Amino acid sequence: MDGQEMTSETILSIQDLKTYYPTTRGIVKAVDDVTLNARRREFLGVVGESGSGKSTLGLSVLRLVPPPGKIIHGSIAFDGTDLLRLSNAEMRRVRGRKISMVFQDPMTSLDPLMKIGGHIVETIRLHEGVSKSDAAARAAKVLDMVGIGPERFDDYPHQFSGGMRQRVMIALAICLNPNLVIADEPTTALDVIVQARILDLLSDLREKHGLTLMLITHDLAAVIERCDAVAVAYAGQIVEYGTRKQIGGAPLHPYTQGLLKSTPNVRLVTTKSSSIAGPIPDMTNPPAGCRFHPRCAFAMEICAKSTPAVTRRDDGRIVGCHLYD
Amino acid sequence: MPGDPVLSIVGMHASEEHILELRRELGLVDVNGNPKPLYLQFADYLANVFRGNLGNSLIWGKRPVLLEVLDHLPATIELTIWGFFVSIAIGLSAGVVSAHRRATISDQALRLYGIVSYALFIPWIGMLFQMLFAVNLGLFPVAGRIGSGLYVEHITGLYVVDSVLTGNWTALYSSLRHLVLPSLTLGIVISGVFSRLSRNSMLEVLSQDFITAARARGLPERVILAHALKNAFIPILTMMGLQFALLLTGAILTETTFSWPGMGSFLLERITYRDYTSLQGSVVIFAIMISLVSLVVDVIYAYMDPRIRF
Amino acid sequence: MVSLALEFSRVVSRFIPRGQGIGIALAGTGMVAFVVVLAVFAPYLTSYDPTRGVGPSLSPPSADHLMGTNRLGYDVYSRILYGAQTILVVVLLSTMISMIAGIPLGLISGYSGGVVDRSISVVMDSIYVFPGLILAIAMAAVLGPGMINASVAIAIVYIPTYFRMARGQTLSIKEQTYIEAMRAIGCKARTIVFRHVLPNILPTLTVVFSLNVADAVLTEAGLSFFGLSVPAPIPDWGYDLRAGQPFLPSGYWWLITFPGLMIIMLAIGFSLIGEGLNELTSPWMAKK
Repeated sequence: MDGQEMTSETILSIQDLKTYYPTTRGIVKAVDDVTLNARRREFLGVVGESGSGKSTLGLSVLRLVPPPGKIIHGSIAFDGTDLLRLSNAEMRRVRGRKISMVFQDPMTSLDPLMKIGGHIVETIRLHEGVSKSDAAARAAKVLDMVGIGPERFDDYPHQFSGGMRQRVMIALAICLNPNLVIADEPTTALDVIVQARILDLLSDLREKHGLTLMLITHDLAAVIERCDAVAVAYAGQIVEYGTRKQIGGAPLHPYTQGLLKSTPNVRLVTTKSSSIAGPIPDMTNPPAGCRFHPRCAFAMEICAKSTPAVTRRDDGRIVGCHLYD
Repeated sequence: MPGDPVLSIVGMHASEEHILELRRELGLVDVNGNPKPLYLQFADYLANVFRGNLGNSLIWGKRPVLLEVLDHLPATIELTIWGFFVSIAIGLSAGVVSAHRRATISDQALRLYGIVSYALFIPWIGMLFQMLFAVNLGLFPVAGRIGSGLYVEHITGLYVVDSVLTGNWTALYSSLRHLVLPSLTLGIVISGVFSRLSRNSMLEVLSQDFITAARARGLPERVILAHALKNAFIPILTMMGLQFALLLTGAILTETTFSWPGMGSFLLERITYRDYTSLQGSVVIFAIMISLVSLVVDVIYAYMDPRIRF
Repeated sequence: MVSLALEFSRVVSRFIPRGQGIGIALAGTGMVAFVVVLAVFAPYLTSYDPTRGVGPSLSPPSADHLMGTNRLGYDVYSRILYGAQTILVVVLLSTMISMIAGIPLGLISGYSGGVVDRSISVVMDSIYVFPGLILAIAMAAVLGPGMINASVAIAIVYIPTYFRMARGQTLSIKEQTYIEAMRAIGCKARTIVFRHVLPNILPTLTVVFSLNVADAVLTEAGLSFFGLSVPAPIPDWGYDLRAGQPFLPSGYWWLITFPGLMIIMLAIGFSLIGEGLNELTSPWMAKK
C-alpha cells in the first residue's frame, strides 16, 4: 500500500497498524491496517464516527489498549524509534514525557482522592525526581498556563466544573513538555461554549510550545476550522487524508462528503443538511470489499468485491476509493 | 413443651404455686396467672433491654445476664479484632494481587482459595493447628487465653492492651502466644470472603478512567496500584464491616475450639444448662454489636470520602 | 510480526468462556456425588452399626476398622458413612423448607409491591442481617434436639436468602415490556408469575441453591458441633468432631481428621458447583 512519505519532518509514523479486540461475539478489528503520519508541530485531526477505531488508534500509540485488546501488527515510529519494540519500562518513560494524552471524560479522568495540584506534582516528581517545592512551583505555573489560578491548587476534582477539569487534564498533559499530545475527544463531554474554549486553549498551547497535536474527534467542522491536516477514519481504516483546505473545500471520498453535508455549520452555504444512510458497520464482520459500499451513493460493482487501494495523489492527498483508481 | 425452662429449674415435682410464682417472675404470665401473649412478652423484654436489664440468669443464683455477658465480651472482642487483622492482611493482599493479575494463573488460584477457604470448617482447622503446632511441634499453647497462674489487671478486658498498659510483660508474651492459633484459624477462614470483596472492588476501580489517564502519564505500576487501593479502600472497608456478622459467627466457633473464654464458650455452656435467659441476652448483645459496627462503618465511610466531607 | 500474531491467537484461545465454569462445576459435582454415594450405599459399604460399640476403644485405623474407633468403641468409618446420610437429609430438608417458604413469598412480595412488599421485606431483612449460626443455635436451643427440629432451625436462617433472590428477580423481570403487554391483555397475575417469572429465575436459583447448601452444610456442622442437631448416638460429623477433640493431645488423630475432611469436602463440593454455575450463567465480558 502506498502510504505517506516520511521525511525528517515526520515525528510520528504509524505503519500498517492492526489492533484487534477478541470478544465472545468475534474479533473486533478496531484498527485494521492504518498508515498515518504526523509532521512536527502539525495540528492533525482524525475524524470519524464512534466505532471507526479512532480512539483505539490514539490508545495504540501510547500502548494503552485495554485488555483483551492487543496491537498485533504494524509499527509506530516516534522520532525514529519504533514504540512497539520498546520494553514496558522504556514505554513508561515515553508516556507523559514525550507523548501525552488528554482523555474524553474529565469527570472521571482525575483521582477523586487527590488534590489537583497533587496530580501534577506527582507526575513531575515521578518522572524527574525534583523536590516537592520545585515541582509545586512548576505545577502552579502550568496551571496558570491553562487558566487556573493558584488559589485552586489544593482543591479536589469534584470541586471543579467539567471545563475546568479538562483544563487540569491539559495541564497534566503538557507539564513535562512533551513533543506530541493526543487529545481523544477532549470536548465531547463539555457544552458547546466550553468546547470552543478548550480547543482554543489547545491550539494556543501548541503554538507556544511547538507541540504536535493529534486531535481525535467526530466533529469534522472543528477539525476543518483549526487543523493543518485531516485524516478521515471509517470502520478501522483511514479513507482519506489531506490538508484542511483540500478536505473542507473538495472532499474526495463519498464518506467525507457525506460527513461534511451532515455537519451543521453556519459558514457553509448549503442549506440542506443530510445524514448518511445505513448503519455503522459491525466491526467483527465488516462489509467485504470497500467497507463503506453499503452506504455509498456512488457504489459500483467493484466496490463490493475488492478493497480499494489507498493511494497518494499528486497534490499530496491520500484517498481509498474505487472512484479514484 | 420439651425443655420447659421453668420445669427444668424447679424440677418435676414442684408445687403448682411455686411454678406459677416463677412464671409470673419470668413474665410468662400476668398477675392473675393468665398466660401473657407473646407480643406482650416481647414488648416487656424490649423495654427491659433499654433499661439495661437483660434479665437474670436462670441458674448461678440469678446473676444478672448483663454482667455475665460483660464478663465474657472482652475476650470475644479481642479475638475478633485479631482475627480481623489476619483476615485483612491475607484477604486484602490476595484480592489486590488477584485483581492486578486478572485472568492469569495467580488470579485463578487466588480465586479458588477464596472459595475453598470459607468452606474450611473452623473447628476442624483449629484442631488441625492444635495438632500440628501445639501438640506435635509444641510451638503454641493448645487452648485458653493466657498461661495458668498469670493474671492481667482488668482495664479494658483486652489482655494485650491491658498488659501493655500495666507493663506486665510476661502476661503480654503469654497472651500473644495464646492468640496466635485462634486468630490464624479465624483469620484464614474469613480471609477468603475478604479477598473476593477486595478483588471485586479493585477491579472496579482499576477499570476507571483516571487509572488509564495515570498510566498515560507514565506513572509506575506500584503508584497506580496505590492510587487504586486508596480509592477501593473505602468500599472495601464498608463491605468488610457488613461482614462483621460472619466474623462473629467465626469467633464463636473458634472460641469453643480453643476453650477461649468469650461469648462463644458462654453460649455453649448456657445451652447445656438450658439457661434461656442467658441465651436470649447473648443473642440481643450480638444484635446490638452488629448494629453498632454497621453504624461505625457508615460514619467512617462518610468521613473518609472527601466528596462527602466537603 | 509473526510472533505478535502467534501471541494474539494464544490470547484468543484463552478466551473460551465456557471452559472454566464447567471444570469447576464438574469437580464440585464429583465431590458431592462421592458423599451421596457414601450415604446411599452406607449399609453395603459397612457391616457395623454406627450407634453401637463394635470394637476396642480408641483403636487406630486398621484392617478391621478402616478409620479406627472412638472412645465408646464405635467404628469411625461407619459413623462417617451414616453421618453422610444425616447431614444430607438435614441439609436438603432444611433447604427445601427454605425454598418452599422463601420463594413464593419473594415472588408475591416482588410482584405486589407496596405495603405487602415492604412489610414482608422488613421481617426478612431482620432475619437476614443476623449471623446464621447464631440464629440457628437460638432456634435449635428452643426447639430441642431432633432431625426435624434441626432442619427447621436451619431452614429459618435461609428463608430470607431465597426470598431476596426471588424478589429481586421478580422485580427486574417485572420491568420488562412483555410483562406489561401480558397484563394489558388481561393475563391473571398468577399466570404471569408462574409461567413467565418463575422460569426466568431458574438459572439464578441453581447458583443460589448450590452456594446456599454449602453454607447450610457448615451451619449444620456448627449446630451439631454444639450438640444441637440430631441427638447422640445418631452419627453426625460435627458432633463427632467435638467428641474427638479432647483426645487430640494424646495423639488420637483419626477421631477428628475424617469427620472434618468430610464436612469440608461436602462444603467445597457444593461451593464449586455454585461457582461453576455462576461462571456459566453470567456473561463473560460483563463479569469482572
